[in-house]
Amino acid sequence: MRKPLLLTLTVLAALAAGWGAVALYFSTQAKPANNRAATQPESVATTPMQLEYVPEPIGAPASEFVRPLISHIEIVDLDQDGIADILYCEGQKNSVRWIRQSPRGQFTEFVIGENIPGPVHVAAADLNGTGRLDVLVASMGRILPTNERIGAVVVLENLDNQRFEKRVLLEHAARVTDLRAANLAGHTDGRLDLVVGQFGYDQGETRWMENKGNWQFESRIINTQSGCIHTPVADFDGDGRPDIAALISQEWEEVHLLRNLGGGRLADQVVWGSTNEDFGSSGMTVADVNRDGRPDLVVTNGDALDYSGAGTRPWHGLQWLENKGSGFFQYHRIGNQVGAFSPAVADLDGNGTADIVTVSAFGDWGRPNASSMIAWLNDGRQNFTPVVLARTPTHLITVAVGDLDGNGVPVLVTGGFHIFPPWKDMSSLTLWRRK
Amino acid sequence: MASKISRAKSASKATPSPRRVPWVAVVGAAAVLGAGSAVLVLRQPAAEQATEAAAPAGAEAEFQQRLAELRARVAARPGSPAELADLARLYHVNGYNDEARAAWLELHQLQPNDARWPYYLADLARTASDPAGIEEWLRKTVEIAPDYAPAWLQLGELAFKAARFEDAERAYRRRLELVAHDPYAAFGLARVKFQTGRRTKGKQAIEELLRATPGFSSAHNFYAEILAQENKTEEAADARWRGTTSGRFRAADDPWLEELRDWCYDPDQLVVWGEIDLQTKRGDHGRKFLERAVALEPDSSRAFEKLGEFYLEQREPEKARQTLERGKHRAGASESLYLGLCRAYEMLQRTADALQATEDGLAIMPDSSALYSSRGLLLGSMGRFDEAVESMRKSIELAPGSPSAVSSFGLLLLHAGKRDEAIAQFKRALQIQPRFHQALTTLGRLELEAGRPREAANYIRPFFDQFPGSRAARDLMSKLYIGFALEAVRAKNEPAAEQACREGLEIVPDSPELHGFLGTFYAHQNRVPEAIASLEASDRLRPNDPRTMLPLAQLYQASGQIENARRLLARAEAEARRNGQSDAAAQFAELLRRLPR
Repeated sequence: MRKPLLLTLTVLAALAAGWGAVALYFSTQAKPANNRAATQPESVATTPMQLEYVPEPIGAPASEFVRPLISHIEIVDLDQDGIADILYCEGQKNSVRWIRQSPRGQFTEFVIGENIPGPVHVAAADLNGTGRLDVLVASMGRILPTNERIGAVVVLENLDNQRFEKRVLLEHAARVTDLRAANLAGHTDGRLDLVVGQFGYDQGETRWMENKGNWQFESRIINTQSGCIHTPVADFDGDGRPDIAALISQEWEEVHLLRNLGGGRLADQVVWGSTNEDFGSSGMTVADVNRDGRPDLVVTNGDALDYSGAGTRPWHGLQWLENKGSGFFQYHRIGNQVGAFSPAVADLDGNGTADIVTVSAFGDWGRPNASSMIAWLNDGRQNFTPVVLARTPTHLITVAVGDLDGNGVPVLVTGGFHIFPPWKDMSSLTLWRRK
Repeated sequence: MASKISRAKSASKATPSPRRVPWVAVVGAAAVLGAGSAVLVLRQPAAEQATEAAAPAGAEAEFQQRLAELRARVAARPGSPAELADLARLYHVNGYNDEARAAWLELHQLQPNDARWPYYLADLARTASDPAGIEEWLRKTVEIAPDYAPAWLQLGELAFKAARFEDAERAYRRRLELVAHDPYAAFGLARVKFQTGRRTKGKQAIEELLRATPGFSSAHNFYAEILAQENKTEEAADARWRGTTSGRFRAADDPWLEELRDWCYDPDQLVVWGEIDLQTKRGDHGRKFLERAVALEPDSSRAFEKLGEFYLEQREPEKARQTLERGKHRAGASESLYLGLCRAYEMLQRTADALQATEDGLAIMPDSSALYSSRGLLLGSMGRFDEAVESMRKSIELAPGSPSAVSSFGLLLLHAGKRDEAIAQFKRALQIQPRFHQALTTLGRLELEAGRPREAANYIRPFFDQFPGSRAARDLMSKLYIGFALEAVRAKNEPAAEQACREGLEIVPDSPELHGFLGTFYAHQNRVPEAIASLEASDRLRPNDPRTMLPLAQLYQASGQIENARRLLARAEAEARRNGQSDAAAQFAELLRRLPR
């Protein structure tokens, strides 16, 4: 008995010795010098894939747009039939489209708004208490940089969940980048006011428009800085009144809280900012990240649209501002991602925590490890692990997350914004279901 | 009793026992098998090996060489701050942040009284979005170098953005002590006032700042929207114009950060710096970055493109042409490069070459609306109208939401004499983008030419509203009111004609045309003193215009102001001779001769 065992052990030792000798030899070979790529953001996401998503093109094909410029997507049950739909806007044909899901699993696209130059944000809200959701469209006039006052506030009034009438409520203004509805004035009859973010370029502003009824609105400018990108609404200070958070880019790179003091008064206060004037703020959303009952802010910085070729920046990425109450926010950096845009928050892995997904609109697409979509998985203590979900299609500028399948599992929808080369791996809308 | 039997071995050959042979063979085979498996698994594919083993090229090669040199110098003189500082600079500006941080920390240990090292650590903290780190190292910097103004400005900005307004105010004030009239600090203090409920004082502070530093664009832009908040529409428009013409925001000068840039081997970063300088009206300063980018990465078209753009802005089309031609042959040549090349050839009046540039671009970018549009305009200028139309239609098909494509088609049609079709295109452009300026100005001019100022006003006023300070807008506005005045004259309504001129001058008081027209109008009415005053105003605004000087000289003579007439005619004659206008010069000379002595 002992001899076969001895033989076996000896053979194994010989195998290991042979392997070890060769391994030792390779380890002594000269290594390449420190490579700048090793410190680039893309190499951070080395965690083995824990989530996998399967893409499926949806809506009008990319070929219809030649080079799609899908600027924003919203998942919303527009006709309120209990099944979530997709709303989006695009800047190639300047249209707003509704991909209606009815019955579940069957998607039909309708163009509900046309000739809206440079549409970049859509939202749904019942502006006048009709029981139907109107579509709010932020119109830049032109998406590429210009200071021309060509922005507009456009509402597609929902007449009967089939026909939508275009109403232009503000025009010849600094370019409009965000439009939402909120009851800022304390209406009791179902009316909602409008929150308007205006990037402009050299000059811009953030305003609210009080709904006076009968499609009449009265404007008030609250913040006088250019570069407003997003204006999410929530009761940030817990006083029962909706407030506005404004992400302001350009040379400012700040987040402002526009606190609703009641009586139609809003006060502007800065709550955070970067001293890097090239920070590239690109998107902001509101979510209770740490589940403490207070709405927090999640912010991406990845915009390099000013520079031709939109080069990468090592400081691009993701952060969140923890709402500590009383208008105070604490900054937490989450991670790096080149060209990061469009933070969306959802429990992606089903562990009850707030995860985040972001996309990349500008990347070094020549590199094989460039990612276009990353999930940031929350361990419950707000430590986030990046997981690359996709490397193609490229040039994704918007992602929305919602329960499209009605089973509680978040579905992602991304939009391609192909304004810079390379002109391959293009997409219009892509639906992503968890594998 | 049996005994053990020994078998004697033969002396000539040792024959191993049958049991030892398998042992050795098996062990040997196992070792070989182990080694062979390791080779298969651990050895990299040849392609990867070749990639790693191949020497880096271009900018990376130069950088690696420089890196190796500096590392060797540091190794040769360990503990020497000079060598370590050079290596740190190289690391810092080329994105080796961890290595840079380690080097600056070591330098800070070696030379604790050199404020540059903590300052650079603060810069790295900013890159890493670490506000606590930024503050820590900036505080250390000013502790060592209390007079380094850029650090105080950054401390002010950091505190402001964290809503620590008292700290911000202190830091901004310190900055102002060091840099008198510094607009950045002054602006920061003004913003603190706004944030702390002192709006009136904040507004006053901005007004003072703008008086002291009229070129500070951020303050103009901020102020414009304050005026808009107060419903001061015209003043807001004026402030917006000033803000736009002041140029884009430029960060405050920072010598310590600036000196790092000379160590940059990253062409992309160099192009960004060059581009920022181009956009902030410091093209000359940015030129060196672009030229260095071209030198470092001669195979990348982007640097060539930006350098070409710089030369075009400097109105050096031949340099632009040469640069862009070189860039055209590099990988990644963009639509902008080809458009720039086309423009360079147009400036050189080489239309055929300009056309070739668009076609070269379209060969690699067949879905470029802008290139088709440029091609169409060029074909039109060469009389190849049908091809031009086809090119324009393609341009519009590729970018149906672009007013520019449609408007360019309109220009083509206009140049071909197809006026009505052109007007339809310009109107279509305005449907796509209601204030598209090329369509507005062209339609405005066409209506004026047709003698329809009221229709022209529908286009010219929106254009002027957007660009009240631009020469083009002011000229058009002048022409509009002259148009109103002419309409009134034709209707024999002289009071209305005068009123139109006066209304125009309220909007565009610096219009030599309106002053000149009014002067001529008064002269016809024999209102000589008023005529002289208006024509003198026109002459001041646009000296040496014979259309003004001749009637003014005649009026001087008619009113007995002979010396004024003589001076004016002498100036007119000299100007005409300078311009080679011998007939006009002769005319002025004759008038001079006829003046009474």
